[in-house]
Amino acid sequence: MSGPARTAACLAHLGGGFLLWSSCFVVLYALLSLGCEAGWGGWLRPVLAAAWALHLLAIAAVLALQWKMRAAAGDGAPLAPPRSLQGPALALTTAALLATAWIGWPVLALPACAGSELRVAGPPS
Amino acid sequence: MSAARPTALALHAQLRRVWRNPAGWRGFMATNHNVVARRFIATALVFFFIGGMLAMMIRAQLATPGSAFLDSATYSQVFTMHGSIMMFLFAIPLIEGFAMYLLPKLIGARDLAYPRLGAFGYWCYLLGGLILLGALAGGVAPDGGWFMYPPLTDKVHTPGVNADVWLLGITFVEISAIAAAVEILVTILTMRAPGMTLARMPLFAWYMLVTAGMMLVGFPPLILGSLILELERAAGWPFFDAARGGDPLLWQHLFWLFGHPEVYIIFLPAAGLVSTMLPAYARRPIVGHDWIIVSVIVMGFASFGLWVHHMFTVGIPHLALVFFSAASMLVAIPTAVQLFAWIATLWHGRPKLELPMLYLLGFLVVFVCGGLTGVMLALVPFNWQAHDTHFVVAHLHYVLVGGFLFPFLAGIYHWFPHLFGRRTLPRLGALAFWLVFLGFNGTFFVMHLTGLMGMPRRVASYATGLGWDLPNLVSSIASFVMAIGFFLLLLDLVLSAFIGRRSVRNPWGAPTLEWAQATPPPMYNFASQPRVADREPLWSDAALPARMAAGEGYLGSIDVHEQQSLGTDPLGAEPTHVIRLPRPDWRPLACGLAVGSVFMALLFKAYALAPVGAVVALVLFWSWAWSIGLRDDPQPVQAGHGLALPVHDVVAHSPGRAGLLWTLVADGTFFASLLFGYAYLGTVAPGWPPPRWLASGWMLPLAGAVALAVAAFAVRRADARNGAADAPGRQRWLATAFAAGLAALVLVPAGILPGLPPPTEHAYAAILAFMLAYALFHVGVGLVFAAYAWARGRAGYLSPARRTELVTARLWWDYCAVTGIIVLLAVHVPAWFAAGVRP
Repeated sequence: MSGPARTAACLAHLGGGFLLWSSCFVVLYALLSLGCEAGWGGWLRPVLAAAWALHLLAIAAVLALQWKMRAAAGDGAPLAPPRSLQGPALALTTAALLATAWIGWPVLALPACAGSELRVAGPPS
Repeated sequence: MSAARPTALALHAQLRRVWRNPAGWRGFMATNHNVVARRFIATALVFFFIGGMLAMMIRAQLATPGSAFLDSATYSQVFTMHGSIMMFLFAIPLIEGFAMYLLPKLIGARDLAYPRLGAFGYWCYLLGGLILLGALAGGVAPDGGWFMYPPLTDKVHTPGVNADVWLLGITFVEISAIAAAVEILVTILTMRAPGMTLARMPLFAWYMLVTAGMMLVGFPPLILGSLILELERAAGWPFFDAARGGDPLLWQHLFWLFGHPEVYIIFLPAAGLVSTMLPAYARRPIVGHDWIIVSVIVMGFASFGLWVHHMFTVGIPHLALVFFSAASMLVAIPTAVQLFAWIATLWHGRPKLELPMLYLLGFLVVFVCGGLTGVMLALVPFNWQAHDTHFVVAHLHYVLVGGFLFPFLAGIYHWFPHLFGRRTLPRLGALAFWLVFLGFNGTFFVMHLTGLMGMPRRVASYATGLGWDLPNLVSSIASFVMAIGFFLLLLDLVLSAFIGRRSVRNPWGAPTLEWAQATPPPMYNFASQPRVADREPLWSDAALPARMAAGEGYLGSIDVHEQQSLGTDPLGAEPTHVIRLPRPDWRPLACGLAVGSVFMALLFKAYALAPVGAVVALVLFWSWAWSIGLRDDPQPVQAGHGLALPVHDVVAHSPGRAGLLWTLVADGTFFASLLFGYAYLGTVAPGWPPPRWLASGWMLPLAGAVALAVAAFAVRRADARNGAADAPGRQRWLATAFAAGLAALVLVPAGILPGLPPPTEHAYAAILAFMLAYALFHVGVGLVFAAYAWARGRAGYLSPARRTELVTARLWWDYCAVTGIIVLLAVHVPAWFAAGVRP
């Protein structure tokens, strides 16, 4: 495996979990904005919850993969980070999983579009 | 040892010759990081004192109710310039200066990856700063707050040049930040000393790695926002005008997408300095090294999830507020991890109370207070109450002064002996610290109460009898105490630079490589580059500095006639190549002036002159690039310890490719921000759908997309033919790429412009026109890439081994084709659907 590919894999191990966290954040915010503007009504909450759950699952999958790699081959696996960074990579992915759970759980508990009416409406087009 | 001495002396003499810095007026040609970094630091400190004087004017004005010291218009300029100078002309450049100075030394390299780019960045910074200062002196400084919200800053409400100065001047300065970020990333990833794996890398380098990545992603939204706001002001394209389909909230999103990460871009390097300095004063390794790395990366990401907490009162759905409130609270956790690691390091160490430690302790106290009020402001109900009051002013100063200024002042004192080879005056320094610390808390702790009593920000005057008189007076008196402290600090630094006691090498007993040098350091940093075996090389191997100075490391040969530093692989840091570094050069300054002339032409509405400046800049950049490279395949360099390494011109992943790759990350963020703006306006802004859609066909857009794809394919073929030693084939394919690029330059706008409503009519047409301009700009630059590669091939600079020009052209055209096709889809598909046409 080439040096640049190993570097990219290492960076992906370190940042992959939080990239998914970022994706979850952006997707939830975008879906919420779109849904409230377009009046998705009762569909919005299940859509948000599904997007959140998918991201949780994806991060959990990355975490499982990292555990497996660490247990199986250490430095020897072609896509594994160096052994010295495997601990930080696992910690980061675990933190990303918890952070995603933390920012997303309100979709299950709060009304989706309350408050958007506070925004001052623009002039009629 | 005595036998090696003449050789070592001769080696240093030879290195001094090779790395000599020009003197006198030719000093403007300097590109060495030691010089450029000092310029950044000194200039940033000058701006700090200018910004500080503006702060004193603010406090003088607010000391008493109904003050007539400044009129309202002047006051607006003063507080806007105070914020803008401190954020853009002091904090970020000081970070750049420190990073440029320290990073090569900490990682055992001789210079940064792109010395000329660093110098170019400095000139952009200085010239952009002078534009802003010139406006201040002329009484036409920006006056819309450092965040420049429209509609206050649109042409109707700010008709003068004030807002233009900010939008263009700050954008000019941002070039320097992007350049520095690219330089820092490539340097850290590819120039570390052999053996310095990522896990052994000094923590400051980890912090800067994350910070530089954040800069590449954080600054482009602001650059986009500034450009389109300037377009709205200059040409009437209504991106933010709600009456014509724009939305002022788009500016707030773009600004705070930059603005909140900016706080962490400022904090993280300061925290990196703390993590680097503390072990020296605690006399033990840092506690929780790996947890600190984890925390820094978490903060790097999480800081991009906070931007809406500056917009809690604009009418966003409550659920969205909760996302951002949750993220804002979340970021306290990695911050706390670092704080506990620092406290534990002191707890388990044997701390010595040197002067820098005073600032570090001051940092811990002040920053914790700022962090706690930050968590308060992250709570939506409290935020609604405290929004736009002096409570927020107090909070942000606790965070920025505590989290940035105190650590950097500690850093200035810590590395002062390194910079000047002298010690500061301890009593004067301690007196200055206590005046600053007490004055700061006297000013801003009280300001929390002023804010909680309801005093709004950015008001030039207030009535008596509201309970604000006394706290304002206390804040103002304390602020002058702080100012006296800063004056004494300045006096200490200036006096010590000339008459300070000579310092021994490594006076603090620090473990990091920069203290392996003579102080002040020579231009080449190290006579030879070391092999590193752990995180504290000077503690584990006390003889290392002597061996490096004797030329016993890598690249320690006396037979050297060009500036060289090792290139290593990003993970394991094993040597892979030798980087040939450029000599001092006048082109960074000339390019800075040429680019500056474009901004000045735009500022003074002399639009006809802007293309002239752009062409001059293009010619200069062409000349800059042309001055490097080789006409023959080079022999490997004997790097020492039996290693024969290729030079960077013939390795696959040259610095040029790496630099372009990271630049494209910033460019891609700009593009993503543009798409976000388009989607935002189309879905959320009032006044949509537009009165007229683009009248679009499908033949010309398809032809444009094909032309883009052919150009990218042709460059790839040129690279392949070059690899097969088929020079004529390579040149033919490059010519094909150029022709296809020209075709794209015609076909892409031909499919859009005839059917595009006037961009002044509605935000829809305006953003389409801007996206078209983005695509055409990239095609234009792509043509330059293709032409340049062709010319280099013709002049003999290319061979199967030497292919940097082809690799970079390929990278650019791949990006250009992908983004160009996305632009075509984004422009045409909605129009097709609106018109009911299915291509």
